[in-house]
Amino acid sequence: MHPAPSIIFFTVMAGAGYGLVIDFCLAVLFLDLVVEPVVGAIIVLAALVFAAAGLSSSLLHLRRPSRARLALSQWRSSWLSREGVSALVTFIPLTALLFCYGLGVETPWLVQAALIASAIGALVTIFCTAMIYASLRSVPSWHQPLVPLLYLLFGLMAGGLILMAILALSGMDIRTIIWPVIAVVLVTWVIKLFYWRGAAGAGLSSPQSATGLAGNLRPLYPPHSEANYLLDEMGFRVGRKHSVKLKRLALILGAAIPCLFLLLAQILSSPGVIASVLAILALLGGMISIFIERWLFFAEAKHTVMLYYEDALAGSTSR
Amino acid sequence: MTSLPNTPPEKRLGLVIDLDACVGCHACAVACKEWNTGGIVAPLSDKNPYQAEQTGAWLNRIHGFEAAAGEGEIGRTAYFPKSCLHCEDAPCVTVCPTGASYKRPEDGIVLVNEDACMGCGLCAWACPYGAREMDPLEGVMKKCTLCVDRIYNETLDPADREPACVAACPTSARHFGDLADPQSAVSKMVAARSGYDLMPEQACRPTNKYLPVRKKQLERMTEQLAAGDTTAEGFFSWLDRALSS
Amino acid sequence: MDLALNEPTGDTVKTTTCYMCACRCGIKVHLKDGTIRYIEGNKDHPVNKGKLCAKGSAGIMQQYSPARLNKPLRRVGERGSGEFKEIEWDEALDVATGWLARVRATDPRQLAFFTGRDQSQALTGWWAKQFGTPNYAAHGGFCSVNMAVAGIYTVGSSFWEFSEPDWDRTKFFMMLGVAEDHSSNPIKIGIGKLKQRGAKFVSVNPVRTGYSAVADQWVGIRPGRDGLFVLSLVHELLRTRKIDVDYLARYTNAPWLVIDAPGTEDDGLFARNPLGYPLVFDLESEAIVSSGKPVDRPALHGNFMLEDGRKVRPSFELLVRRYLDPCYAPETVAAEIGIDAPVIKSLAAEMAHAAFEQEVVLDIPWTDAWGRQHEQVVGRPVSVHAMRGISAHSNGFHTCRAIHLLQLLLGSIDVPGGYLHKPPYPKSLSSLPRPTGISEQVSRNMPLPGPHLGFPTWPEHLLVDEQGSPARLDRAFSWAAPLAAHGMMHAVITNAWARDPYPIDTLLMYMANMAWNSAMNTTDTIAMLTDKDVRTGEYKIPRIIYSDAFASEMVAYADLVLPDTTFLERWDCISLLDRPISDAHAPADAIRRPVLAPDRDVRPFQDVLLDLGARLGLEGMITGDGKSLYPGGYRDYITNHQRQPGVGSLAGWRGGEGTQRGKGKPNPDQIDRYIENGCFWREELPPSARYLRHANRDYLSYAKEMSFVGSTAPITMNLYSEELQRFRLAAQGHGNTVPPAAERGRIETYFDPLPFWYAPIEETYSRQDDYPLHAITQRPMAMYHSWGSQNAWLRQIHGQNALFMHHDTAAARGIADGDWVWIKSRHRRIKVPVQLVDGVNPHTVWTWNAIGKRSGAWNLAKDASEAKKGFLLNHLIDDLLPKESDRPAASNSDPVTGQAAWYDLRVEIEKAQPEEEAIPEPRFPDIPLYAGLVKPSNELRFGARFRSGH
Ligand SMILES: Nc1nc2c(c(=O)[nH]1)N[C@H]1C(S)=C(S)[C@@H](COP(=O)(O)OP(=O)(O)OC[C@H]3O[C@@H](n4cnc5c(=O)[nH]c(N)nc54)[C@H](O)[C@@H]3O)O[C@H]1N2
Ligand SMILES: Nc1nc2c(c(=O)[nH]1)N[C@H]1C(S)=C(S)[C@@H](COP(=O)(O)OP(=O)(O)OC[C@H]3O[C@@H](n4cnc5c(=O)[nH]c(N)nc54)[C@H](O)[C@@H]3O)O[C@H]1N2
Ligand code: SF4
Ligand code: SF4
Ligand code: SF4
Ligand code: SF4
Ligand code: SF4
Ligand SMILES: [Mo]
Repeated sequence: MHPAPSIIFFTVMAGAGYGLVIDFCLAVLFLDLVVEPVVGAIIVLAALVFAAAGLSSSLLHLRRPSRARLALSQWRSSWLSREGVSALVTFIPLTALLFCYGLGVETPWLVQAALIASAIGALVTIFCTAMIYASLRSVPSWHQPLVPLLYLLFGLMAGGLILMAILALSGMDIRTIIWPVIAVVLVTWVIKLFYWRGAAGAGLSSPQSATGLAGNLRPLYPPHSEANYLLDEMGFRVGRKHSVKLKRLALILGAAIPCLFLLLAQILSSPGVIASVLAILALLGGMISIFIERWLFFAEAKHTVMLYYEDALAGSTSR
Repeated sequence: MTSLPNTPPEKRLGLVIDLDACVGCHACAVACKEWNTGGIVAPLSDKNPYQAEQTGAWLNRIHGFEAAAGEGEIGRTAYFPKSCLHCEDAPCVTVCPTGASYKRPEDGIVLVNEDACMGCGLCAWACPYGAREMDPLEGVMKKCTLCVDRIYNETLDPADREPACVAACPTSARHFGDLADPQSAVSKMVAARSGYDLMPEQACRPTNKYLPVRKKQLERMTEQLAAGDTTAEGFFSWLDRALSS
Repeated sequence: MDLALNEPTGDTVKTTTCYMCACRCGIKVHLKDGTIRYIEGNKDHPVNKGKLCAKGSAGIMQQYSPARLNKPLRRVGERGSGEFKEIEWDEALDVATGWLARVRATDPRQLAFFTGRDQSQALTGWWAKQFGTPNYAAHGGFCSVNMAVAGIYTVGSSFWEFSEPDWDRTKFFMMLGVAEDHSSNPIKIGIGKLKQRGAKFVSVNPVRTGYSAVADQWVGIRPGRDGLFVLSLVHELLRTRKIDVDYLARYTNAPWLVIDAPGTEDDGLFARNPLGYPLVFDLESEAIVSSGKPVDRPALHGNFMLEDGRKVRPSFELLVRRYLDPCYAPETVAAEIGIDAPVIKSLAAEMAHAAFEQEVVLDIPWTDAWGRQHEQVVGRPVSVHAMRGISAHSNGFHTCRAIHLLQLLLGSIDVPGGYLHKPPYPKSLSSLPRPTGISEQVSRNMPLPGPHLGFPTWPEHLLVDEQGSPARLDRAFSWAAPLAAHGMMHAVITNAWARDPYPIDTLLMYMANMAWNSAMNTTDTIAMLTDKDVRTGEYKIPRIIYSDAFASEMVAYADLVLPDTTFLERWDCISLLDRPISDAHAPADAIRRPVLAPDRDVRPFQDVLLDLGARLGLEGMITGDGKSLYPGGYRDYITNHQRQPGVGSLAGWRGGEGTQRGKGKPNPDQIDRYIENGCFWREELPPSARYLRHANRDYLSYAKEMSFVGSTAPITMNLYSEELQRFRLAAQGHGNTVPPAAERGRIETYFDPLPFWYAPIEETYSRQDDYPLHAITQRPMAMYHSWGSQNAWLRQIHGQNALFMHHDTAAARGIADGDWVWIKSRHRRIKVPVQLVDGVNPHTVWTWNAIGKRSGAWNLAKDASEAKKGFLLNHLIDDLLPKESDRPAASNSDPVTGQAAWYDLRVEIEKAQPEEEAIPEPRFPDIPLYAGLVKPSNELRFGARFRSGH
C-alpha cells in the first residue's frame, strides 16, 4: 500500500496522544503518580495536541475534506466512522480534565472520572483506528488481531515516552515509571518482530482464485500502459534489503535507544537536566522508530488487487 | 447508509462474463467510460490526457494473463475484464464512514452517493478486486454503476436497457441479468457452464459471475490418417472411382 | 437515493457510419446541446449489429481532439521544421490550382496522387483519372494487395473484406495471420457465434494474443512459412483422398486441358477452341469438348492429344503430381515451419472430417448457370480467414493462392459453412478492368482514358514502354511488379526522390502518415522528403500538398496543408464501386453524414477535390460554361454523379422516384432515404441466390442487373493460373511484350501457374546466422495505426509499446524482462525495451504497430510516453532489397503483386549497455506546435456538463 505521509502522521500522532492519555491514567491509578496541576494540564494538553495534529493530518488525506463531518454518521458499520466519533467524544473528558488541572479543581472523583473516561475513550479510539486496517480482508497482513494489539502498544509506548519526557522536564522523578515504560517498549517490539515474521504470509487469495484461471499464471498485459489510481494507491513496493535496513534502524531507534537511555536515567540521576535530556532522546528515538514502523506497515502491506497487476509492476519499465 | 440491506435484495442484478469468448478488445471498457463520463457519475475525468503519465477514472478494465506451459498443460493467454461485482457482503459499503457507499435493497446494485463522498479512499482499500477508483480530478469515488441510468431508463428503447459494456461487447462475452432468479438466462448460463465467484475466500459473495475458459479442443484425429499413399498413379485410380460414383 | 434514472441520452440522435477504422460500422450519435454525449452501435446495421469496438466508442475523443488542424497552412520554415503560417482557403486553393494546372499543362505524370486510409477511392481515383496522371493509387499496395490479387485470380473474390466465413454454419474455422483486420466487429461477432455453437477454431499465428488466445488450438507457426504449411495440408488431403472431386470438376479449371509443349509459346496454356473456350476431355463421349457447356464427367488426369497433335493434360493432374510429392509431406516440412508433423496431419484430418463427415445440407432449390435444377445445397463446413500475416510477406501471393487452393479442394468456397463471397463479388477476371497509364494514354490537359488500377491477364496489359521501363512512378504494373493491382504507395517517395523512373513536380497525399508509420524505412524516408538538389537548391520532391485532419508527423513535410474535417463533420459514401459494406447474403452500401458542423476553418477533402477539379477545368467536374458541376460539393456528387448511365455512387433508392436500386437515374432525395434508413442500404438476396454464386443462375442474373458482373456466364475458379503462365512464357522470350533481360529470371520463377512456397526474399540477404529472428508487428484492437494516439482514452490503453520476446530466446542472449536492447536488421538498428512472454514462436519477436510517436507530434506533450517509451519498428524495414549486380535494387515487396513485405524482416537482438540511456532510438528533432494549434490543458472532465442537476 502507498505509505501516505498524512496517514502515517495521523496514526502515529493520534496513537501517541491517546496512548499518553492511557499511560497517564494508568500511572495515576496504579503507580501512584501524583502531578502538580500545571504538569497535569501540560500532559493533557500534550495529548490533545498530538491527537488533534493526528486527526487534522488525516483530513489532508481526504480529497473532499469539507465533507469530513459526514464521516461521523456511519458508526454502526464503519470503523473509520467509529474512530472519528470516539476520537471526538474522547475530547470531552479530556477537555474536562484539562479544565480541572488548568483551573486547579481538586475534586478527586471528578478528576479521576474524567481521567478514566478519557482513558477509556482513548483506548476505544486506538482500537478503532487499528480496526480500520485490521478489518480489511483485502490486505492480509493487516487482517489479524495483532494489528489492534500493536496499535495499542505503540500508542502506549509513544505515550509512555512522552509522559516520561514531560515529567522529566518538569523536574519530577521519573524513576518509578521507567521500568513499566521499558517493559512496554520491549513487549511492543517483540510482538512487532512477531508480526514482521508472519506478515509476509501470502494471505488467502492467489492469482488463480482472483481470476478463476488455472495454471502458472502471470499478469502480462495490464489494462492500461501507464499507472492508474489502483497502482498508485496499492502498487507500492519496498525492496527486501531496504526493508531489512529500515527494520534494523527502527529497532535501534525504538528499542535499543529508549531502553538504554532510560536505564541510564534510572542509574545515573535524580531529576535534572541529564534525566530530561535522556528522556527527550528516548522519546525522539521512539517516535522516529514508530514513524518507520508505520511507514513499513503500509509500504509492506500487499493488497489483493495486486494479484491482477503483480508482474506488470515487477517486470519492466514499460508495458 | 452503509449498513448492508437487512434482507437480501429480491433481485441481484449483475454481469456474467465469459472468459472463453473474451478476446481482450477493450470495447466494453471504452463503452463504459463513454457512457458513464456523461451519466449519473459524470465525469470520469482524465489527468494528463495529452501529456506524460496519462491516467483517468475507468470503471472497467481488461487484463491479460499468461499461463506458462507446464506438465500436461498447454500454455495459454487469457483476457480478464474486471469491474465491480456488486457483492452481497460488500466490504466497500460497510467501511464507508460517510454513508456515501451503499447497496440498493431493491436490486443489489452498489453505488456511491458522490455528494456524500469525502474522498477518503477507504472503500477502494476494502474492495479486494480493485473495482473502485478515485476520480483524479473530482476527488470522489467512482465505480461501476451497472449502468443503473440505462437499465431502468424509460427514455431508452427497451432493447437498449442494458449496460453499455454488454451492448458493446462484440463477442457477446458479457451478459446482464438477475442472478437471484434461477430461471433467468444468466442464471442458466452460470449453471450450465459452471460459472464461479472471484476470490470466494474474501467472503464478499460477489453477484457477478465468470464463465471458465473451455478446455482447449486438442483431440488428434490421427487414426484417420492411415489411408492413402503418395503415388500419383494410386491417386488417379482412386480418382477414377471417385468420379464415376 | 434519488437517482436520475430516466435522463434521456441526449436531445438529438443521428445515425452515420463510424470511421475510427476501416470496418465502417453503423453508429448512432447522441447529441446534447450540440455536443456529442454518446456514440453507440446501430443495432439495425448489417456490419456491426449494434456492437461497437473500443475505437468506435472513443470517437468522441477524436472529435474533440486538440490535435485537429484548424486552417490551411503554408510552409514558412524549412520543410520538416513544422513551421507554418495559417492562410485562407482562397489562397490555399489558388496555390494548389496554380501548381496543378502547370503540371497538367506540361506533363500530367508529374503529379503523383496517393491516398492512405481513403474510403472514397471511387472519387479520388476518378479525379486523378480526369486530371490525367497515371500516378494514382491508394494504400492497398502496402496493405494487403496479395490477398486481393491472389483471391481475384483464384476464386473471384478475396479475403480482406470481400468475403467472410459462414459464421453460422462452419464447423471448423482456421484463421491465419490475423490480429484484428478490417472486419473488426464482424469477426468478433463471428467468433462469438463459434463459441456459442462450439465449432472448432484454430488460429495459425506466431503470436498468441487476441483471437489466438480464445482459439481452441493455437498453431505458433514460424513467420513466412504458411505456404509450406498449407501445401502440406494439401498434400495430406490428396494423400488421404479427402477432396471434393465433383466440386472441382464442376466449378474449377481442374479439368481444363493444359498444353504440354515445352519451349513453345503455348506451353502451359489452356488448349482452347476457336471461340476461346478452354477444352476438356469428356469421359462419357471420350472426346475433347469445349468447357463452355457442362460436362458431367470430365477427365481430371490423363494424356490426351489435340487434333493438331499437341499433347494436353488436365490441369488437375499437374496439381496432383506437384503436391503429392513427398517434399510437401508433414514430416519433411515440420522443422522448417516449426509445427510438428502430427499437428499438421491432425489438422488435415479434422478439416476433412468436418468437410466430408459433417456436411451441411440445406433444402434450398437453386438453378445452376447451365440451367440445371438442384433441390439442395451441400456445404462443406470448413472455413478459413487470412490476412496480413500472409500478405505482408514477399511470398504472400502464392501463400494466399495456396490457401484458396486448399479451400477449393475441400469444395468449401461459397457453400454453407464455408467461405462466402460478398457481393459485388465474385467477379471474373475477364470482366475486370485493365490498368491504364502508358505514355500513349497520357496527354496534357486530358483525362486518362481508363482507370489506373486493374488486373493484367496478359503481359500486354502492363504499363511499360518498349524497353520494358515502367510508366508509373511507383513501378506498379511493370515487370518489377506485374500484378500490382493496388499500386505501390510504399515506393512513391523513394522513387520520386531518386527521380527514377522519372522526376515529379507535385506529390499530393491524403490521409497517409508517410513520414512515419506507413513508410518502410522511416528514417530515410524523412531524409528524402527534405533532401535538396545540390545544384539548384530545390527540394528533390519539389512540392508536397497534404490533406490531414490532425497534427500528424506527415504534416511537417507538406508545403501546403489542406485541413480536413473529422468523420463526424462530413459527407461520405461507402460505395459498391469501391469497398462496400456488403455481407455474404446482401449487397449493401452506406453514407456518412455530418452530425456536427466544423467549429474550425476546415473543409472536407472531397469537397476540396471537387472544387480544385472545377478550378482546373477537369472534365466531368465542370458544366459547359466552365462552372462547377457539383456546387453542392461531395453530397451533390454522391447524388448526381454517374459512372455509367444509371450507375452512381450509391445503389439504393435510385431513379426519379427512388424505387430502383443498382441502376437508375439519380434521385435528388436519395440521401434523405439513406438517412431515414440509418444511413445504409442493404438488399437481402433470396435463398436461391446465396450459394455457389460463381455458377448460380439467379445470382448471376441479379449481379448482371446490378452491374456487378458483365455477363451471366459462370465464373470458373482457377486452381491453375493460366494468367501467371502467360507472364512466365514472356520471361522465356515468347510474345511481343517480354521482360528486360535482368527481370527474366525473377518473372520465370515467381509466375508459377501453381502455388509454391519460397523463403521470404529478404532471407536471401539477412542470413539465418546473422539475423536468426523474425520481427513482426500486430495491430492492437484498441488503437488504429497512428491516429489513435491523440485520443485521450485510447492512449491510456496503449501509450507505449515494448518488444515482446520469448523467455528462452531472451535467456539465450542474457536478456531479462524490462531490459533495453538493440534490434539490428541488415538495414539499421533501433533501441527498445523488452518484455518477456511465453505465447510466441521462439524464433519471433513482435510489438504493437504504430504506437511510438515522434516527439511533439499529435499535439502531445514532448515527453509523452509515445515518444519517450514507444517505438516504431519501421526504421528497421528497408524499402529496397540490396542491389544485385545485374539489376537495380528491387522493392522489398512480393515480386508478383508489389505488396510491401513488412513481415519478412529478420533481426538479431542484443542487450543495450548499462550506461546507455533508457530511451528509444533513433530520435528525431521535436515537432513544434503547428500554427493554429493550442496546447491542451492537463485536465479533462469530458461529460461533466451532461450530468443532470450539475
Ligand atoms: N511496421 C508496420 N508498419 C505498417 C504496418 C504494419 O503492420 N507494420 N501496416 C501498414 C498498413 S497495412 C497500413 S494500411 C498503413 C497505415 O498507415 P497510414 O495510412 O499512415 O494510417 P494512419 O496512421 O492511421 O493515418 C494516416 C493519416 O490519416 C490522418 N487522418 C485521420 N483522419 C483523417 C481524416 O478524417 N481526414 C484526413 N484527411 N486525414 C485523416 C491521420 O491523422 C494520419 O496522419 O501502415 C502500414 N505500416
Ligand atoms: N484496431 C485496429 N484495427 C485495424 C487496424 C488498426 O490499426 N487497428 N488496421 C486496419 C488495417 S489498415 C489493416 S491492413 C488490417 C490488418 O489486419 P491484420 O491482418 O489482422 O493485421 P496485423 O495486425 O498486421 O496482423 C497480422 C497477424 O499476422 C501474424 N503474422 C505475422 N507474420 C505471420 C506469418 O508469417 N504467418 C502467420 N500465420 N501469421 C503471421 C501477426 O502475429 C498478426 O497477428 O487491420 C485493420 N483493422
Ligand atoms: S466488487 Fe468491490 S466495489 Fe464492488 S461491491 Fe464488491 S467489494 Fe464493493
Ligand atoms: S471514498 Fe467516499 S465512498 Fe469511499 S469510503 Fe470514502 S467517503 Fe465512502
Ligand atoms: S455495467 Fe455499466 S458501469 Fe458497469 S462496467 Fe458495464 S458499462 Fe461500466
Ligand atoms: S468487449 Fe467483450 S471481448 Fe472485448 S474485452 Fe470486453 S468482454 Fe472481452
Ligand atoms: S470496428 Fe470500431 S472503429 Fe472500426 S468502424 Fe467499427 S466501431 Fe468504428
Ligand atoms: Mo492496411
